[in-house]
Amino acid sequence: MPRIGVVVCWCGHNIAGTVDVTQVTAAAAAMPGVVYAEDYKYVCSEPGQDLIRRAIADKRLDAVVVAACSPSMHEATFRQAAAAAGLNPYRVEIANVREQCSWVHRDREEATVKAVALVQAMVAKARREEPLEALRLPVTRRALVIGGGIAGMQAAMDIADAGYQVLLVEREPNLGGRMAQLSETFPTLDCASCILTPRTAEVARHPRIELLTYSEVREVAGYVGDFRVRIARKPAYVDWDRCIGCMLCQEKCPRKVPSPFERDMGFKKAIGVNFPQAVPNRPVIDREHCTYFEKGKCQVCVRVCPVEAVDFEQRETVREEAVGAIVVATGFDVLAPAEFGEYGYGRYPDVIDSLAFERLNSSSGPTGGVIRRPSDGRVPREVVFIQCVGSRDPDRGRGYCSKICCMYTAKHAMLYRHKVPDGQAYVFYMDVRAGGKGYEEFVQRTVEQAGALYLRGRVARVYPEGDRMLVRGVDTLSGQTVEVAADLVVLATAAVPRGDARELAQLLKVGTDAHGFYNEAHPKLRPVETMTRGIFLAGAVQAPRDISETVAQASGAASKVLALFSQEELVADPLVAVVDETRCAGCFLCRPVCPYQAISTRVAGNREVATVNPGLCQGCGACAVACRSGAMALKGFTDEQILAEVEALCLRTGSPG
Amino acid sequence: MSDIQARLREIARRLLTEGHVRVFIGFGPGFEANRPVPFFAADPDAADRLLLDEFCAAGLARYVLEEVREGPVGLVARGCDGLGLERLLADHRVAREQLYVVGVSCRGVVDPDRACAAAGEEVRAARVNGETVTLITPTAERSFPRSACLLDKCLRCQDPTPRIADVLLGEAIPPGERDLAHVDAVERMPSDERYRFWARQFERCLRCLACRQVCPACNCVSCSLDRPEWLERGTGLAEQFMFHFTRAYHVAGRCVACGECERACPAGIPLGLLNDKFMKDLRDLFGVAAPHRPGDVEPLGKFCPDDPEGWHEGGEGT
Repeated sequence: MPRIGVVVCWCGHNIAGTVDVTQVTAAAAAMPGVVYAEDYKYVCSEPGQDLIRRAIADKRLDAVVVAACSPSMHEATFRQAAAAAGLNPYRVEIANVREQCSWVHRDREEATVKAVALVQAMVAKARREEPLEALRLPVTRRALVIGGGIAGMQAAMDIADAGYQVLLVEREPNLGGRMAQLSETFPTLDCASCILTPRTAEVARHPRIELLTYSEVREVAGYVGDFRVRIARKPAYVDWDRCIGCMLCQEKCPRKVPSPFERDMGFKKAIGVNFPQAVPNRPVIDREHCTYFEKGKCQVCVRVCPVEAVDFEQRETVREEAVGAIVVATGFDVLAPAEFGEYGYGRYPDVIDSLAFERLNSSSGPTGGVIRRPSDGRVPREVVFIQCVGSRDPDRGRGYCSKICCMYTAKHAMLYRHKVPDGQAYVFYMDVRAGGKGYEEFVQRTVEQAGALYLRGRVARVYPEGDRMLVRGVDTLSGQTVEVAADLVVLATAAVPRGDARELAQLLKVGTDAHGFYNEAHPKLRPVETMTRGIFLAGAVQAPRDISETVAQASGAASKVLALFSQEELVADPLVAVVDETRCAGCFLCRPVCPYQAISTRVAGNREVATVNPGLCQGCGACAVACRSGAMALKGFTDEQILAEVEALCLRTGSPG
Repeated sequence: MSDIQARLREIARRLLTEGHVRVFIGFGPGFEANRPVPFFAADPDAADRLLLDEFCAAGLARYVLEEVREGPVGLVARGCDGLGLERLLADHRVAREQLYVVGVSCRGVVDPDRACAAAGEEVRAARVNGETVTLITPTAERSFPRSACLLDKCLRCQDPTPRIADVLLGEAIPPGERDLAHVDAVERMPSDERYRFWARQFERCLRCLACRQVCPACNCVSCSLDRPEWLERGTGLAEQFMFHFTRAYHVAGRCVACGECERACPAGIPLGLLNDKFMKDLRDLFGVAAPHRPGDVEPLGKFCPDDPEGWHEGGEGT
């Protein structure tokens, strides 16, 4: 029988406050196979780990059970300690007596009985353990960054500056993302373009960044260190290698269509770039609106192009690339406020969203930076800003705070006052959330210096009266109904995931929350990692966040990629599924239940059986559950081990000791 | 039926003569006229001993599993046999090109015990009509309701005609709805009464494993129920529940409702009732057809990326 050691952690008061650790230790000492049992105040501390190391050496332990917190917290810590003492790290088992016991019980006696039972179960499991060897995987030192906004560019620059190749894929024809649409940035009011455009140029000419704009990721296979990605490049109908970026085509194109970049307040041509500073400075043809594609004639662009770069026959091209790590930085959308009928968005031209207001402020925007309302071009004298449109509204499905709106609304109110000194801004708000360096001071300046009138309350209705919009709401501080006749109403609409965020998440096998924002591996300790190893998050794809947070997170994601690339080979947990070919009937029910496409077919003798790619397998165990004949086993969690645990729990008669 | 029987013999003879199949599985005479048994014709002359009548009860699909190892197999298949074959095909246990399926439509199989009890004397032959069954005894020819004559599994049958026949003898009968009404009565029982009901059923179990051996969904190479860590050999009530629940779960979403388990059970345990309960739940919870059609995506056998992950912290349903 293997010699087992049990170490019981107090976790200060966390465990010892509810569980009698002395009694648990005494009970453990009496369990079959246990040759050593001890308790200690903080086993995760250095002296605590030393206790484990010494016990392994002195008592010649074959396995260790640590009764402590959740394995997701410190399993790795204790495994390292065991490995340092020469024990196979996969012979360490955690009995979770904190999250699953002391934290959820009040009665000391009952909690102690349960803690003993949990230890007993893990001792039973430890008795049936096999030593496992970590998997070793090669690593391709080249990163894929999806999204060419400020997050993706930051991550790409950091990785490339460290000496590694980066493939930067952007769906739009140009870099910049959401930030390219912004006018100024809070709390410093420096202009977004002044920060962004030098960065786009830098990214474009970086020798180790390969830029793939107007491209989309279509397929992702493989695993950490060895992803295989298929990237489709959409047809621009312009040969970008020939094109010199003179933009004569854009100038001469007879077809004007509303520009989504300008929130449909301005126009673009059917061929051209979204904005003059776009990088790369290469035009695309908007096939939906191009006269030639519609009617088969026009070709003005072909005639004016000095280098014969227009190519109506261009087709989508797909390439396959091998990368070792992926950073997802696909950003966010703003909620289409059409579902908020009470605010009249879509019905009245002078009810706009905040992104449109950014364009009105922008010197490269449709009004050249003069704030004019869309209906008649008049400079508005009174502007109402409505916050939390769609955010913090569980009744309409979004209980979360979009986080950036308080600050950009304050910024809007201030910018408005700068441009229209005799104008009045009103802000309807729920609370003002200005957590961040210099943020609160900024809001105070908006109120005190820019004279914005903050009204705490929801707006009930917006409706037209004459050429103005009547905004009716309640000021909950005074309890009075408020009515403002506004020239312009600006809705701070919720930040929401991109429309196709879930599809990309499925390709990447990354989890999403109820709204479609990507899940991090741990909200506090692993905020830029996903549950899929080798895939990292940067920016608003994870949750709404502002530029400075986004850039910080992007650098965080880059540093995780660099840590991965700095390893000779990747070491992976051997806790993966394995097939007993003699038992496998070859029904392949395991294949459709596998979320990672880790299972394929192998011919064994005269029949086909399932086989698991250990690099792809994440050890979720779905296949082991689906397999009726028990041919599929999860290493470290075999049927024998689980049943031994269950049996140990069931056989407990109740009294501790 | 005799015309179809003649054509069946002719096809079987041709398949065996031409070497298309190594063996043809059908029915042959048993010790009693109303109890024919499965028959394996391995040479052309044996084909003439094949018979097909209203008493041919056993499901034939599961025999294929053993027989195909030696070479291609022909067989006669009713609707239930056809579903069993589809199950084996979907589980990759048999290749379609190894099978030659002679389909026949079936209006129900006469249970000899039930029929003799109804007629009051030995029933030699029977005719299954629409709603009645004519039983022919040495002295008389009388009609009885279906429920007094047919096997239980045939009373709830929804698929009279196989869907995968290479050749169909006679007319096809369109599929119907599975009758799951008998589940309601059990669902309505208070839980302690329901427990006693199933305890009464399961304690009769001999653990002969006939239900497993005849089941086309129980086609594993190695059965986890043969492993002592999962199931001890004893027949205490706890082991009986463990056995029957495990069996039912392992066929949940895969059971084709052929009713063979219930027919084969010597203790008369209503296994079909248990299977139908699962089938009804799967229909109501996952919107899949009852019975589930093999080859469709299995309701309990897929990873669904659209699952809301409600069990995550902060997710829906927490």
